[in-house]
Amino acid sequence: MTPERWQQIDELLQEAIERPRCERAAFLDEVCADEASRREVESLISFHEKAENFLEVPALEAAPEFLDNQGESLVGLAVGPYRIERLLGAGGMGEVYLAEDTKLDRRVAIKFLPADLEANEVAKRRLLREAKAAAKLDHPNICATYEVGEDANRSFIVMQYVQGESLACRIQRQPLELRESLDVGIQVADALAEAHSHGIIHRDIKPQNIMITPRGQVKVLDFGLAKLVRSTGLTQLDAQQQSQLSAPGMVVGTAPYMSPEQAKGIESVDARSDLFSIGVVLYESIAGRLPFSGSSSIEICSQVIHLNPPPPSEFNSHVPPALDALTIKALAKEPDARYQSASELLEDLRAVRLTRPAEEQVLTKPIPLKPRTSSIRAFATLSNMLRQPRVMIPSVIAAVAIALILLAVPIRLRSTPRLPPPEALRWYNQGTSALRDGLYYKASNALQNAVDVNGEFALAHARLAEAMTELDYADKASYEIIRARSLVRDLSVLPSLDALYLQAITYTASREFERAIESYQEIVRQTQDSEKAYAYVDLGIAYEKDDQVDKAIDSYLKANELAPDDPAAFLRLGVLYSRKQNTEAADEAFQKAQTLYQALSNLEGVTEVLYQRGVASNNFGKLTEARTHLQQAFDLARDNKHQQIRILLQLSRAWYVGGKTARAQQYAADAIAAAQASGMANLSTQGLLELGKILQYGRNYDAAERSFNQALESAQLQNGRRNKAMAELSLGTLRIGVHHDADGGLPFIERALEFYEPGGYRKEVSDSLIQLARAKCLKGDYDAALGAYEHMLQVAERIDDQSLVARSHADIGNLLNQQERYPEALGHLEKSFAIYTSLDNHLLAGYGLADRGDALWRLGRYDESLEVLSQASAIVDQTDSNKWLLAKISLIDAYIAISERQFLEARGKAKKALTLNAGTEPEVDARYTLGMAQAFSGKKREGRFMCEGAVERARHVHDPQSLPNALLALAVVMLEAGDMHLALTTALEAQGMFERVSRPESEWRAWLVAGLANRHAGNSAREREYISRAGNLLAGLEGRWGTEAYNLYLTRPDVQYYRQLLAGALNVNN
Amino acid sequence: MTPSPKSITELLIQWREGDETALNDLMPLVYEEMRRLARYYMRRERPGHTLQTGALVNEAYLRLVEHKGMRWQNRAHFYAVASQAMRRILVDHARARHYAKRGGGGQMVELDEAEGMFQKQAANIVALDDALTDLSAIDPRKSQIVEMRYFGGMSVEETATVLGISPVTVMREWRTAKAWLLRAISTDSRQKIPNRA
Repeated sequence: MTPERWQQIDELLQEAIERPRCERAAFLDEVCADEASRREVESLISFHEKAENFLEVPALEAAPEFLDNQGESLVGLAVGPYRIERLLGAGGMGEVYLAEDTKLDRRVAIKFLPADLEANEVAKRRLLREAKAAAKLDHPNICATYEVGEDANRSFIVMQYVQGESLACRIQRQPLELRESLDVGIQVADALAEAHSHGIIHRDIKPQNIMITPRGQVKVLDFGLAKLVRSTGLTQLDAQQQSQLSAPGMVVGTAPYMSPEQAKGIESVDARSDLFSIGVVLYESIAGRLPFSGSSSIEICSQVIHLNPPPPSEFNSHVPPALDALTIKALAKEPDARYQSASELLEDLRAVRLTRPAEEQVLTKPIPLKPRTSSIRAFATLSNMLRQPRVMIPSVIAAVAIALILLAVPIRLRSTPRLPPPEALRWYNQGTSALRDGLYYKASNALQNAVDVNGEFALAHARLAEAMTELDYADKASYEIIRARSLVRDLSVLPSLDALYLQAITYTASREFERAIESYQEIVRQTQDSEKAYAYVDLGIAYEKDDQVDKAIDSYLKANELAPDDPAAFLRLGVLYSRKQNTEAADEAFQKAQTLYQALSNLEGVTEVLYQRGVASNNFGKLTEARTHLQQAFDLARDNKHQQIRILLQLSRAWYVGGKTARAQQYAADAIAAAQASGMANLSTQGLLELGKILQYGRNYDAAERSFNQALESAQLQNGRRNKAMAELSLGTLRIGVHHDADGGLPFIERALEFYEPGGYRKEVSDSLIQLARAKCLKGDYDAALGAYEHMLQVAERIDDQSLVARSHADIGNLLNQQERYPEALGHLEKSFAIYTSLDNHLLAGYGLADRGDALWRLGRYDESLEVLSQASAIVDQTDSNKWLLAKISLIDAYIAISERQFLEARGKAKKALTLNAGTEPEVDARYTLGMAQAFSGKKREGRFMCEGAVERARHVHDPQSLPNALLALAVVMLEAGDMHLALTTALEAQGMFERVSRPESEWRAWLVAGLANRHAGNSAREREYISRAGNLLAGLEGRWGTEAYNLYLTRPDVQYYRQLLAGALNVNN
Repeated sequence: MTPSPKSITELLIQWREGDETALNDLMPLVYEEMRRLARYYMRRERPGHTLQTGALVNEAYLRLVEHKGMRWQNRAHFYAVASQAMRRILVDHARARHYAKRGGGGQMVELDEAEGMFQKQAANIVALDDALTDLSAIDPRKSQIVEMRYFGGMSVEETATVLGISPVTVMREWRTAKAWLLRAISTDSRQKIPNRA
C-alpha cells in the first residue's frame, strides 16, 4: 500500500468508526470510491472492533517476563566441549548451568559472567585473573575450578559439579547436631587455611557457598569470585536467597555474614575477614539463629558493626563454654582480637570436638526469642523510614549515604554517657519546648546548637531527628537517628527515663506512633509534676499524629491540670478542637495559649497561635477571619523567616479559596522567593505546590502543571518525601480531575499512595483514593468508582473526620447525578450539605446546594430546586461573591429555563452563565444551553453555531460528561433547523456515549431525535426502531427512579414536549 | 559507567533542535540505562503489583537528565527516546530468545507452561516489531504513536506534546493504528499479542 492510498483509507476508517455501528454501512456506501477501498476499510473496521484492549497495557507491564534473565537461556547450546543441560541457578544478572563435558565425559557446572561485567573490561580482567588464581587450589574441601574461558561473547568458569545440598538448605531442613556443626566448621576452616596460604581470600563465606555431599564431605564454592558475587548477588545455588537482602548499590551480597570491615565498605580486607564470616556460620549452626539480623541490609550492617551478640549457649544450652568462647572470639569486631589464622581456628575447633562425646546427639533447639532489644528495634525503625518502595533511586542513594554515615560515626568502645554540659542542655531544653510549640524550624536550630556543643548528646540528636522529620528533611533525620543510636548502643547504660525518651523520640521521628505512645505512657508513669506535664504534651502529640484526636485532647487536658501556665498544651487543644469543629472550645483554648505566650514574652509562640487560628479559619472557609489572623501573625513574625513564609503560604490559601487568585499568587510567589533567599529549600517546594494549587484553582492548568513538576523535581533533589508525595498527588489530581487523563494520572496517585499508606497519612490516603475513584469514573467503571467512594466514606467515618465524611457524600452524590440516578443522589447531597453546614463551611455547603438544585429540577421538582438555589445564592453573598459557585448556579438557572421552555428568559440566563463560566470546564455546558435557547427563540443560525462550538470544545478537552450533552443539544437544534442528516448522526453519536455510561434519561431523548430525523429522511424502518427504543428507555426510568419520582419527571414541560413528539411518532407508525 | 546527566541533556536539546545525529549518540546511553532500570524494577517488584512503564521512564529521566532549567518539552522528548529504547530492548530480548532456541540443534528441552507462554510472547513481540516497521513505511507518525504509547507507556497527552499534535488526533490515530497492526500480525502469525485486559 502506498502512503497516499493508506492516508485515504485511514481517513475513511477514522470517520467510519466515529459513527454508530448501524450507520457505518450507509456511510461507506456514500463515500467509498471503489469496492477495493470499501473492503479494505471494512476489514480494518472489523479489526478495530477486536482491538479494543489490544496494546492498551504497555508492553513491559503486559509481559514482564521479557526482562527475566532466563529469557537468555543457554540450555541446549554447546560451549566448547561443554553441552549445556540445565540451569542450576540464576540471579542478579548471570546464570550457572549444569553441563556435560563431552570430551572427558563428566558433569561440570558452568558459570557465565553477567553481561554487565562483559562491558567493563577492567573489572572483567581482574575477576578472571582471580578466578584463575583460585583454579590452582587443590584441596578436598574446595570445589575445583577446571577452566576459565571465553567464547565469542561471554566469559565463563567451568567448575566441579558438586552433588548434595548447601549448608543453607541443610539448616533449613533440620537443625544440625552439635557434632555436625563442628565437622562442617572444621572442614571449612581447613579449606580456608589452604586458600589463605596461597594468598586467596574468599570474601563471601556463607551457608549458600558451603556444599555438603551425601557422604558428609564439605566443598566450599566460589573461591575468588566474591567480587562477582558482590556486584551481582550471584551464587551457584540458591540465587533466590540473595533477594532477602539485596539493596543494590551496596557492597553487600550477603550482609549477615559480612565482617565489620566489609560492612563498613572497606575494600582491602584480609584473611581475618573470612574468619569472622566462618564465625557467623558457626554461630548460626550451633545457636540456630543468626547473630546479626534485620529486615534490611542497612539494619544488618549496623548490627554487624555495633552489636555484640549474646553467646550461642543462650539459645542452645548444650553449647559448651569452650565453643561459646571460640565463636565469640571469631566474631570480635576488631580483626586483631579475632583468630589470626584459619589454622589457629582449626586447632581450637578440633580441640572442642575432642571434648564432645561422639555419641551425644545434641540437637540445636532454637529457644523462643527474647523480646528484641530496643537497639534492634530502633534500627528497624530506621530502615522503615528509609524503605521507599517503587522509587528506588532515592532509597539507594539514602542507603549508600547511610553506609557512609556509619563509617563516619566514631565507634565508641564503651558508652558511659556523661551529663552534657550546661550550654548543650540549655539548647536542648529550648529545642524541646519549641518542638512542643510546633516551632520546628526554631527547634531544629536550637537542637543543632545542642549537638554542636556536645556531639555525644544522644537525646539531642534524636530530638533533632524529630524536628527534621517534621521539616521533611528525611536524609538529615535518618542521619540524626543513626547518630543517636550509635552513641547509645546499649540502652541499659542510660538512666531508665533517658532510655525511654530516646526510644519515644526515635519512634516519633520515624512515625511509629503506636510505639512512641507506649513509651510516652511509660514516661508519664515515671515522672512527676511539671516533667509529667511535658510528658503528657509529648504523649498528646504522639496521639495527635496517630489521628487519635480524643486521646490527644485528654493528654493535653491532663498537662494543663499539672501545669496550668504552660501554653503549649492549650495551643494544641485549640488546633484539635478546631479539627473537631468545636469552634467555641477552640477559640477559648487559642485565646488562653495566646495570653500565656504573651505573659512569657514568647513572640514566636503568639505568632504560632495566630497562625494556627488562621489555618483553622481557612479550613472552616471563614476566609476573612483567616486573613485577619494571618495578617496579625505575619506582622509579628518579623524576625522569624520560617514563620513568615509559612504564614504567606497560608495567606495565599485564604485568598485563592475565595477566588482571588491574583492576590493569592502574589503571596505564594513572595513565599517562594523568601524561602529561596533564605535557603529553605523544602519551604520553597511547598510554595511551588501551593502556587500550583492556586493556578489550578484559577483554571490555569498548564502553569499549574509546570509548578507541580518543579515542586516534584525540587522535592526529589531534597529527598523531601512528603513534598514529593504531595507533588505526585497534585499532578495526579490535575491529570485526572482536569485533563480527564486517567492513565496519565494513576501512576502519580499510586506512587503517592506508596508513601502515604505506610506512613499512616490518612487524610492524604483518602485524597488519593478520591482520585483513584475519579480515574475509574473516567474509564467508565462507575461501579468501581462508587465502591471507592463508599470505602472512602467508611474511612472518613472511622477516623471521625466530618469534613471528609461530607466530601465523600458529596462525591457519591455527584457520581450518582452523573449517572442520572437523581433520587439516590439527593440523599447523599443532603447529608453532605447538613454536615458542611454544621461545620460552618458555607462554601462547600453552597456547592452541595447547587448540586441538589440540579438534581431536583431534573426530577421535575422545580419549586424545591429554586428554593435550594436561592439558598445557594445567599451563600454566594456570604462568601465574598465566590465566582465559581455563582457561575454554577447561573448555569443551573439556565437549564431550568430551557426545561420550562422559557427560551427568551433562558437566553439571558445562559448568556450570563457563559460569561461567568468563560474559559472554564462548564463553558461547554453554558454554550450548548445558550445555543438551544437561541435556536428555539428564533435565532437558528446563532444557535447552531453556538452548539457546534460547544461540541468542538468538549471534544478538545475530552470531557466525557459534557460531550454527549452538547451533541444532543446540537442534534435537537439541527432537527429544529431541518438538517436531518446531521441531526441523525449527531444524535446517534450522543446516544452511543449515553449508552456506554448508562444514562438512560438522556439516551431516550437521543433515540427520539434520531428517530424523528429518520422520519424526515424517509427511512421509516429505522424510524420505528429508534422511536420504540426511546419509548422503552423512557418507560424504564420508572423502575430506576421509583414511580413517584418518575411521575413528577413526566410533568417537566420539556419532557411533556418530547413525549408528545414520541406519541406522535408512535401514532404515525401504528 | 553512567554517562553524565549533562552530556545526555545536551544531546537531548540538540535532538530537539533538529540534529538527528544526536539521537544516534543518545540511544545507546538511554538503552543501557533503561535496561538496567527495567531489570532492577522487575526484581524488586512486589508480587501482585503492576510494573509501571511510565514510572520507569520517569525514573530514567530523573537519573539521566540534568534538571536545572529543564523544560517540559525536553522531558517529553526524552520520553520519546526512552520509548524507542524500550522497544529495542524488548525486541532484542525476544529475538535473542528465538535464536537461542533454534540454536539448540534438536536437543529436547522440556518447557514448562510459563516457558511455553513466554515463547509465544516472544514471537508476538517480534511480529509486532516487524508490523510496526512496515507501518512506519506508510505512516511514520502512527508508528511513533504506538511506540510511545505501547513501549514507552506514555499517556495520550505526553504523546501529543512530543509530536506537536492535539490529544484528540493522537487518540484517533492510535485507534486506527491498532486496527492496522492487529490485522497485520493476525494474518502473519495468527497469534495474539500479550495483553492483560
